[in-house]
Amino acid sequence: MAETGCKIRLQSVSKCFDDKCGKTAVLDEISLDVYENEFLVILGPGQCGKSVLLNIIADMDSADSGTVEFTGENNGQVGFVFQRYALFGWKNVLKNVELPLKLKGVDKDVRRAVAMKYIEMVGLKGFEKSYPAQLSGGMKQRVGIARAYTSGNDIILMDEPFGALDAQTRYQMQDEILKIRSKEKKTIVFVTNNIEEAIYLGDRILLLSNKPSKVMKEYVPDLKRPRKNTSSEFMRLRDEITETMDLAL
Amino acid sequence: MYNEKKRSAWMKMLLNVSGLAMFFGIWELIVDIGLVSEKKLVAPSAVFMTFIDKLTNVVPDGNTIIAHTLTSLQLVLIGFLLSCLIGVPLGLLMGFFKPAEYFFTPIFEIVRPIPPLAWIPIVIVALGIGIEAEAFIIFVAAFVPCVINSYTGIQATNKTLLDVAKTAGATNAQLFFKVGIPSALPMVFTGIKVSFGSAWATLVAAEMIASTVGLGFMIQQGRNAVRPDIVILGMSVIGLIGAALTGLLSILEKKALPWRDLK
Ligand SMILES: Nc1ncnc2c1ncn2[C@@H]1O[C@H](COP(=O)(O)OP(=O)(O)O)[C@@H](O)[C@H]1O
Ligand SMILES: [Mg+2]
Repeated sequence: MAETGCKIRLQSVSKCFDDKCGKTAVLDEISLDVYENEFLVILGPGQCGKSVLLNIIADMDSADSGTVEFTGENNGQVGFVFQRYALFGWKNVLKNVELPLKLKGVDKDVRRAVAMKYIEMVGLKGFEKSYPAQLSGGMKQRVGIARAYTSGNDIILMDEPFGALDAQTRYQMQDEILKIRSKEKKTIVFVTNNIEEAIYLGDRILLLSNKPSKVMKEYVPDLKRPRKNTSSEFMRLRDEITETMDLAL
Repeated sequence: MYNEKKRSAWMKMLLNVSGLAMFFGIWELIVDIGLVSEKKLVAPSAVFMTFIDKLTNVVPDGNTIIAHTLTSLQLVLIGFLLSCLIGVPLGLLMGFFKPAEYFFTPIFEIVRPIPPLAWIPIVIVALGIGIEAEAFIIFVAAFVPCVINSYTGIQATNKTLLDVAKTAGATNAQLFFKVGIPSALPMVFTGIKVSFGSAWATLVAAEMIASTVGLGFMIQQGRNAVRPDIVILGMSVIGLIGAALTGLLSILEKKALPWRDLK
């Protein structure tokens, strides 16, 4: 049994893939807990298996061994934000956002209302009728976030959600996600390969090694929000994490 | 910006019209100056006169051009619509559900290389001489592109979009109808357009199965009566209607897939 306050518990999760050069171990006995309402950042170098790990948690992929356990009333239902937005090009913003509820058979009026609430929350009011092709990258990811929240699940997994955005938009979106989070309590697992992003956002940071990846280290940034990447504590932590990552290479 | 768009639209129209004018102009000219004998090639103006004449005149093939055209249209539409009705769902199922793919692919791969015309003898035996046999030949011609494009289109469904729906709890049927089919629609439409082209292009061949009316039949009769004007009239009507209906399908496609031309 997981203790109270723990939302997701991973125990010794391992995963291999068969490819041209034989078997590649990607995840090596990963164990971690995700606590209720925390903003957990999973930080790791590119190709280390972050997406595989998140997909296993979301049940889009399965582990070779180990367990993923959800506690409380949550039976493994999560909202998911994808790196490449993963919007339905043939649906407008409103229909994209309300999709999770539509698939669950929720009445039109109800799901419209919920979708509109989150469209407003991510700052896309007035764009309900727009199609994804008409939106910028940042706006597309706002749609992706609204959709994940509309699902109604209390756990949101985000897989490098700002990875495809330019630096300026990326900073905006980081503030946006913190603003959203202050309005609505959720347990967030946020994957990134960007150290500054991890420190700026995370209540807690788990650092993964190169593949086959393990949890190398945990950091709990003791920094007042809003965090400034120019503050000395911020930079000290950044250097520390950078060093740990470099050592592992 | 707007003016530029408008100008390029005019430019396009102008070039379209000049191309046509040049084609018909040269054609008219080489006949008028006697480069080619009128017995072999008829000038467009003469073809047009024949067209006016054939609106009411049933000589030499027993029917007016209107009757021929309507019969041919009916025939092609039956064959074409049947092929869409069967081919599109079949291709979609084969592309989305592995068991359907494994079950149907071998049969399909064997049927696919058989030219539509090779079916004629067996079809006549099976269905007799008549519109059923003719429609079947057209069906065969139109069927293959419908299946292949629907199959390829739905197979290319973005895996992440399927994941989106799966994490939201979609059933297999929902994945098929709400993700797979909409993803495949652009390719399905391409298939339908190619199908229509094949169907229409097979018309003359299909009407060789003992027709007594139809554009293909009219062309045959024109040939027997040594009336090149009628042969060319038949060809022209097939060309024009083919182009018009393909245009109509493109308009339908734009209406059905409004999100495609956004930017
Ligand atoms: N379906 C798959 N088949 C084979 N190898 C895979 C598959 N998915 C991921 N991998 C491998 O697992 C490794 C980690 O991938 P991924 O989790 O996407 O990395 P990242 O940390 O950048 O998200 C990569 O080297 C990739 O080649
Ligand atoms: Mg990834």
